Amino acid sequence: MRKREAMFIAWLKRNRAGKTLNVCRRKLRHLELSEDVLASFPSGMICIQRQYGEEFVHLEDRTWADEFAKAHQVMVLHHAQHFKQKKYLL
Amino acid sequence: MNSGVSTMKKDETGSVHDVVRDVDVPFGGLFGSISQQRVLQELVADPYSTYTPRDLTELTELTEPTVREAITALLRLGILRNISRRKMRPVYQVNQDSNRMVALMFLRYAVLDDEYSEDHLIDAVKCYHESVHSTSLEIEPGEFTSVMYDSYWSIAKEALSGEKAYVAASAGV
Repeated sequence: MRKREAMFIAWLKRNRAGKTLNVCRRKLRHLELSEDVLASFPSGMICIQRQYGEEFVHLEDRTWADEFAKAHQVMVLHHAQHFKQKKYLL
Repeated sequence: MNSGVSTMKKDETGSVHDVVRDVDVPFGGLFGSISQQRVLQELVADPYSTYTPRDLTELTELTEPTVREAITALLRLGILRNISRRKMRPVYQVNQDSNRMVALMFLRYAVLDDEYSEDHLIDAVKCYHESVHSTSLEIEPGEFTSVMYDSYWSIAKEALSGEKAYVAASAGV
């Protein structure tokens, strides 16, 4: 569960740290998370702003986002371990 | 890394003409059309999930034929792979062996760092390095020598203070 939340935060960070609420809802649905997740993050980390009549989810603390993603191993692709396994199994 | 040349046979992922065309394209046709770039950006943002064409259509806000075209190109480049056994219901996943995908993730961090004047790219590179060399020494050679230097210095200080105490004691006597 927390890993999916980390995936969402990492996704938001890599999308220039902000996306419209509608797109975020679609991504949350894609990750099989409920919209309530947005309220579950620590305060001051993400916020919902209204810009040009549209609601934006904005990542306030990008350093925290990296730490959160790193803790759940979704910061960078861990293809090396997969590669090693494949190499040594052969 | 799966290059375009290695898949030089006519299959569902592309024709021989497509492969020949890609040879002269900068970066192997990685940065193709705008739609392909948008699909690629979505995959780079979350390379851990699985995607159906409908998922990508919803997330990128592109039309389904455009997404299918982009998927075909990304399959040909070896960035995506179909993990579904059912031919009519494809499910795609990022090919985690693709070095280009790793490089694109770093590029994403670099773009953000340039925009916000931050240095998260270094953290990402460090994290990647740790994941690749997880069995490497935890103490760097420089750190190790500094630790040794500190311990020698503490021993020398202790000896010096002991000698001073002895001198003071003998002077007192």
